[in-house]
Amino acid sequence: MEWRTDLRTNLRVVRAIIAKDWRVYWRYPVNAFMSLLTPIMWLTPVFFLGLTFSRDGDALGFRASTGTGDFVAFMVLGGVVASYVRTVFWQMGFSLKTEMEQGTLESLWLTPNSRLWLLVGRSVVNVLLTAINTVTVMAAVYLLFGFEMTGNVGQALLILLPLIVALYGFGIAYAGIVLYVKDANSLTDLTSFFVEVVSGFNYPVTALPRALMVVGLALPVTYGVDAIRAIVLGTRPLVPVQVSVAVVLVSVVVFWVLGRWIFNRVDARVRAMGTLGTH
Amino acid sequence: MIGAISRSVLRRGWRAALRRERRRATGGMDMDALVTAEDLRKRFPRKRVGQRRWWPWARRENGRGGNGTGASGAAGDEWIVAVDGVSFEVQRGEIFGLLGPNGAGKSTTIRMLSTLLEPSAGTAVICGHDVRWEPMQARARLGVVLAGDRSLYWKLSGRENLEFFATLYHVPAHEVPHRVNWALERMGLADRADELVERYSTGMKQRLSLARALLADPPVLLLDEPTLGLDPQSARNLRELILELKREGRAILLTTHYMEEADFLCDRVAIIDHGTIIAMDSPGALKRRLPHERVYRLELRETNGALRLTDLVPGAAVVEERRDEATGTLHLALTLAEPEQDLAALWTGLAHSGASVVNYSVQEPTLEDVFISLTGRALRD
Repeated sequence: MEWRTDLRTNLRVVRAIIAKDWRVYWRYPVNAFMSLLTPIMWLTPVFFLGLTFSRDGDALGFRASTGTGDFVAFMVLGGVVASYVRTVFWQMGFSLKTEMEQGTLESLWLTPNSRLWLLVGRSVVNVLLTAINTVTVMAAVYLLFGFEMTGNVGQALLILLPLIVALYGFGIAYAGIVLYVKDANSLTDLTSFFVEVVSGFNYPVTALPRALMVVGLALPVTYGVDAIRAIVLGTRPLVPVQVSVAVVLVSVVVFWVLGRWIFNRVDARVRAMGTLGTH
Repeated sequence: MIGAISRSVLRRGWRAALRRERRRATGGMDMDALVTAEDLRKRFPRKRVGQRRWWPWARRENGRGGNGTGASGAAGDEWIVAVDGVSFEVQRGEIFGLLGPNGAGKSTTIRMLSTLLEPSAGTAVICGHDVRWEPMQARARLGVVLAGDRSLYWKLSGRENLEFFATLYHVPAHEVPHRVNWALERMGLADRADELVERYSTGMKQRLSLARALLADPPVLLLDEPTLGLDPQSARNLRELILELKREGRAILLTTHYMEEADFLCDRVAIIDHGTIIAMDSPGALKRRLPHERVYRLELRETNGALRLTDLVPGAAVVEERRDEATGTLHLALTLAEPEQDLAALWTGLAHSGASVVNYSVQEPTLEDVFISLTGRALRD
């Protein structure tokens, strides 16, 4: 079966990319260490601020708004999804541009592989590195500040995984766009920040002004993080969890179809313009 | 929608195959050629600082009004023509050189052949696979070395780079270590294989790039300025390697702006200028087109001290005249308008003048002379 041979070959290519990126990642040990330290640095002042609003470790106002008084657990779960959103924008989005700046993009593009599979390889290693990073940060936050997860973590993972797949579908499109636009730092900074603001990673989305909340409710990631919190912490969900799951699953299909289409269009455009090796 | 796309792709692929078959049937394509470029063209929209158009439709509107007018098109043109109707073939076991100044269209041609750049028009075929419709099949048969030394992962060792790319070139897993060792040995990098590439010299990086190009044992090699930036010894070693690869039966297309390199390596050379091939032949044949460019060098010992060669040979032009006081000889360099007749007249005249010839040599024209005679400019202008 030809497709089976093709799939085996493509999976081998994905594995090679994972191994290569893994090696390169650890050859910058300070960067690796800082990626663990930075989220803890961000969370620390918020933790102490939250304590001042709490009585006997229970943030009553926060409980009234969300259904849980454990604001650290609330933020940690938001932080898990937020770290994937940031990674999709900054790591995936800039993955091709980084290769281009290194000078290695053309070498990759010269190999007899589908360019989409090369990006899939990059996505997988990204997911793995972010997962390792997230678990390590969660462990550190647990030891430093403490939090409780009383709900079904396995069920939450069943929502998180398709949400990550959907995000990387978007990431593939965004990688193409950054390759084309090139000078996309400000655009990425702004968009990534805006998504974090309106999706309620650090606070309930209901705390937003109505106009921003509407924008937030248009993004599938808002439903994903809301459902995860509802399952794990027993917070009040925006919509029934089943609806959130449906939104996330539909977004997987939409983001991957659109992502692939946009990436192929941009790739063809870049090859026509001859800008693959320029930056 | 997906069905329509598939049908369109199939139709285009089928048309390309039909075009190829038609060319074969009419003798338009050499069946032994591993690389064929036919009327290949590439034009780019002209970009001016501060005129970046963000909206695709704005670009298209301007594109429609554009007209290709050559790489040096007048101000106000919307397009720059980088390659303009280039056609050639490279046979098995042949080194074919694209020789031209910077910006002539050499690298653009290689980029089109290697599928990095979409041709605006024309056909490029690698081992029977059209680069536009069967890009993956074409890439599977290509080893490419692009100009510059940044095409490798500097934070990986030489061996790690090759292992990674061997997998990407679909070398079977059990063969990877053997093939990587073979490539490292062959390029003389075995003893430095486990060092990070960032510690390699430019020459070593270039050899590693060539090793990578050989991993999949491709029948076709595309080498873009392979010796650029190398010291003379490294450049010589790399040229010897390229000749070895040719002897193995590979078709090699290389670009260079070093005429000596083209002369030394290439079986055939296409001289390219402003995106157009202006001459194509073996280096010897190209140079033989310029018999009057041959320089005749004479060292004479005069008897009367008043020898005027131009009186003896009307077709002679003295390009250099120098008297060596130490030896008392006259050094002359001449070109002859009609070499056969003028040479006979020269020897007769010299015999009658009583001058004795101490030394005589003929300097053949170079490819640089060929380029100058065709364009009126030097290669490095």
